[in-house]
Amino acid sequence: MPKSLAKTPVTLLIDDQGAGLYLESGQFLGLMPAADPVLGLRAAWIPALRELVAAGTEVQLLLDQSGLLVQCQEAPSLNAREIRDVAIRVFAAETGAEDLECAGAQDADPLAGGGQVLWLAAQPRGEMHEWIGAIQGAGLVPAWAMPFQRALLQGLDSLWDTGPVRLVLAVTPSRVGHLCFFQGRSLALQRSFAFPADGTEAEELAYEEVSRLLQFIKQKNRELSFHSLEVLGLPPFSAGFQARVRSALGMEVRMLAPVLWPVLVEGLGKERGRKDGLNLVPLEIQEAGRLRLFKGAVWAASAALALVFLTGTLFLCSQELILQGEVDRSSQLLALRESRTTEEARTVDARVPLLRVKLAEQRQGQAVTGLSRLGTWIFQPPQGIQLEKVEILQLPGDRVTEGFTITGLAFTERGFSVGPLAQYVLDLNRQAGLTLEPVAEATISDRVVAGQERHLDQLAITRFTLKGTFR
Amino acid sequence: MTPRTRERALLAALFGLVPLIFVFTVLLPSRKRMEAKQARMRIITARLDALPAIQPLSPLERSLLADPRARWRTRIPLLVTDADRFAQYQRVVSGLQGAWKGQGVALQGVRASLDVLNGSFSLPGDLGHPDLGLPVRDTSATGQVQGWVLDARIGGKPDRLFQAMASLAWVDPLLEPVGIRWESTPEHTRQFLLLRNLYLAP
Repeated sequence: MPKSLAKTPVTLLIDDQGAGLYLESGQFLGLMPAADPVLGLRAAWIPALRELVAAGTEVQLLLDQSGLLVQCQEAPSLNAREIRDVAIRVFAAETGAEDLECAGAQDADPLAGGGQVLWLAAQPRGEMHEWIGAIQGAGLVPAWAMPFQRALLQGLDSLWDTGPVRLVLAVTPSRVGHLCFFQGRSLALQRSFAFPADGTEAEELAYEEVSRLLQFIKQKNRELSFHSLEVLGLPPFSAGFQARVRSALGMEVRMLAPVLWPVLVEGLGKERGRKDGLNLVPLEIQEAGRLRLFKGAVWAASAALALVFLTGTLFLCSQELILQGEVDRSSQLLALRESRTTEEARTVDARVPLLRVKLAEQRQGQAVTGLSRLGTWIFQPPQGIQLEKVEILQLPGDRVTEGFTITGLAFTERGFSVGPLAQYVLDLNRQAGLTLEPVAEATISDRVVAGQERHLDQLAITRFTLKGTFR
Repeated sequence: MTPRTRERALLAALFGLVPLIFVFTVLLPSRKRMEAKQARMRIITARLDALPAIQPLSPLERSLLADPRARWRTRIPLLVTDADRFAQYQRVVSGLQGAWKGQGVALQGVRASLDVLNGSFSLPGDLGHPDLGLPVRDTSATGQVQGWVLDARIGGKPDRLFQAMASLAWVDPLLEPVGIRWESTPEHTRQFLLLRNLYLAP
């Protein structure tokens, strides 16, 4: 037989016929052997489970055997601990037995008094421990255990909803028929019976069971009326059967699902998905499982944290190393530059006299050029200007700047004598870099004697003093 | 202690204490070391920035500095003794006359003072051999730059002044023209070129 895929949950359907192992897809893996009369159930199951299922796989138990106790009650809202306590008290009071593994779950139901329907289930502890022991002994993980009826109700939710009162005929893969009467979220009544494979016989049995159950229900509650019989896990009944049910019992036959397994799997999944689902696996094992999960999470978180811290430490170390490298390089550069600077300082000392001479020569050249240009401009006056005194002196300062004073005469043979002076001033002013101060002194003594126009020489004179700078 | 309590304690230790330990044993010390390194880096950078950028010597400068007989060494000499000053005066005046004579510029007279020396004289003729072989001290890095001005009377028209200035570069003592004085009267025309000679005083 093929082994289940690793880590894919498998389901053990346990009923009075035996225990069958199924994959989620509904594939039948195998039947668990009967308990060894000497060594017990574990000795028989463990090798079979090991052979069929990979170690570490989760196992779900779907309980459908006659030893299982299921009861529904209307109740107010209770917490998980209270539900469990109620289950223990109820079954202890009912059976007088204390070695029961009890569990419960609560469904909101607006039709129920208190607004809640309490599902209670109990399984003899001895049997449960044998199963769990066998599962654990085979290296598998007991994940969930719930009554078949509960899985059926949860799975039915996804199918056609016919109203608050439902009569359901479900036949398991191991040919056990279940006739369930659900009132809202509550399992009001249930009958289980072996279901024959033969079609006619099966229809006859189904009709008998349904009519008998209806009769029983009607005796207790005449106001209830059923409109349909919902059938799961069977191929369609014959038209004759359906007509018979319709005419005799007043109900339509609705073939909801030809295969029951997907409905059960969905119901199982839905129950497991609930925070407070009905789970008959012993509490200590559930705790151990949770603890294992928690430990796994803690280890994963530890590893992640360690990784983060390790990465952070490495990052910080790398940053430090990079910075240290930069510091070292900069220190070396500084040392090099400082040693060079000492050498350069010696170079500068040696260079100072040379630079001084060069600067002095440069200044000498500038002075020669400046003085020559200025002298050229000053000593080339226009006609009519006679220079008497020229004094050019370098002004103090880093930049070569010449200050000058020009004293002279402007004269003409005819006309006004300031004309040549004006021309001279204009010429000088045109020279770039030359700045003339406002004329401080210009004495004009122009005179024309009537009748002596031929002897004008020296009669038209302007004595002037010009000052300015040139840079 | 129940397993659940123990696990919760483990969780608290894991997510509370371990990060704290990391912070105090790794993060903060690392940050402190980084800050110290950064501070050191800032100091180094500041010191690097403070270092002057000195241009290395050019090959020409190297050759000039390496040559003990280079002309630049005696252009601004160090004058320590009276003899140095007399020799410098001699070098300037005779050097000027020698250079100008070659250019056709007549140095007619000189008026100047260099420390103890006060000179004011006319030069009707040639001074003779200008170079007496007097020793000249090299220039120095430590001396204080000082200058004295020499009024050189130049014959001829103003163009002689410019010619005289143009030939100053050939005179070994460094002479910078700092002024011109020119006057013309009906009786005479005089022109002076004012020259500043630099020297180093100890």
